[in-house]
Amino acid sequence: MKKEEFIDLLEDIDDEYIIRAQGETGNKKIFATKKWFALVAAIIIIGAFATVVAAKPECRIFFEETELEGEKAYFVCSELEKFSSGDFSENIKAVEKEIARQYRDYEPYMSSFPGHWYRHFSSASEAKEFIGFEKFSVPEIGIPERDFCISAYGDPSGKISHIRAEFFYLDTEDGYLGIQIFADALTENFEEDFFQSDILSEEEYRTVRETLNRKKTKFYIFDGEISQTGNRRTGIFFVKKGVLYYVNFAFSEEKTEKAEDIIQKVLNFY
Amino acid sequence: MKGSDFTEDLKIIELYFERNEKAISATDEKYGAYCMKISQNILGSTEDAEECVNDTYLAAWNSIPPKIPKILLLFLGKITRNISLNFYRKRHSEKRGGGEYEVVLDEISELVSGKENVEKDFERREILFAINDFLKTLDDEKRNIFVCRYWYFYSAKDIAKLFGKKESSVHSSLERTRKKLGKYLSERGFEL
Repeated sequence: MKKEEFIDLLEDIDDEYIIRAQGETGNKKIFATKKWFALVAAIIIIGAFATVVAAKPECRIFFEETELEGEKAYFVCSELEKFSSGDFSENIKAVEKEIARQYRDYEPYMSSFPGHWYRHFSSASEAKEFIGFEKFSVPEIGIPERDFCISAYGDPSGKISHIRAEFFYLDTEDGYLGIQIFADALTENFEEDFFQSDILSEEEYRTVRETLNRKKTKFYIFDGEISQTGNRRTGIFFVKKGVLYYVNFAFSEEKTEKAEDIIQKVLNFY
Repeated sequence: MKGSDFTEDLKIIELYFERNEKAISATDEKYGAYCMKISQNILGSTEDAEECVNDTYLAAWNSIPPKIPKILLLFLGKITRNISLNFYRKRHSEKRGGGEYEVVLDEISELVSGKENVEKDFERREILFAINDFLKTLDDEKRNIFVCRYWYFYSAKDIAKLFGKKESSVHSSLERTRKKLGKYLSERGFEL
């Protein structure tokens, strides 16, 4: 059989499998997130900002060993504060209703999987105003703002257990610099003991180092894999005011200095 | 994908039956992104994908009625896949394009001989039944990854994002599934 014929033959596999796979593609925002793939990369050079201050961090981040397809990997886990719905703006009620509606109207073959609401905003301040959560904070990054998104995850009754804010900045003038900030807040409806936010490969895990700034915030920093475009990547995890932050820097050689300045700014801000 | 109400699809199908041109815009609104993604995955070009998706709408217009799709999403997805594959083969008969199609073909080459066998219809159906049986043996994740790759033509990078995995894990999952499928078919007497 020719390869092309085999591809054509697969067209007629069981409809159920095609629909189920569509469920994966339909509910995870592949259209919106694809552009972010190209933007992820960075380097970080930790310099004079770190001060050796012995202090207990307010919430714990730890790494839990796991296995992915036979390879050793590590979950990034954290024990976070759990907030009440009163810590958020009134808009959260409409979001709760919308999530409950998603479950109510869920039609297995036709709908995106319920329980996840998200909305894009034109600026960080607009996003923060909508969610009305004082503890989400971002520094003045100083490069163009590109996208801001608030996501909420809830159960069939609409109760929200997790809210995520995503802030994205991009500077492509004379080089490349992309910065993503993810801020995760849990609510009292979150029933697990700790929150798993990401997975690091063993190679990434080996580069993890810890540092404290003058405000006694503890940062976990790792270097990621170099992307196909040659950009380098570094991520920073930390907890501030009960919120888990993950800041991802990506930059080309030309933007190294600028990236380092912003990294310094981020580390001083929190 | 927008919408969650099955009756919404029935309304769209009614528009086709009434020969109301709003059928096209309603289809585009609800399934445009879905069809575009399939076509873009195959072709790697937005412009070409737009052309194929427009052809999909035309094909839907010409076939409903008499056809009544049971599941509009599948109906449109299959047409888009088919039109896009044909478009690709015509356009790129001499050179490789930028989509996932060629890469998927390379991956498939380990499963098939590449020879010009003339499988009869009933033989093809038997092979298809065997493939479906094989897919049934896989856990949900492995099967969804396989279908995302070989039906939807998603890149390994996209699949990694969708399933929260490393790209290398996706490649190894696909490789293992292909090998298993080859063995499964061969054990049942299918020499492709």
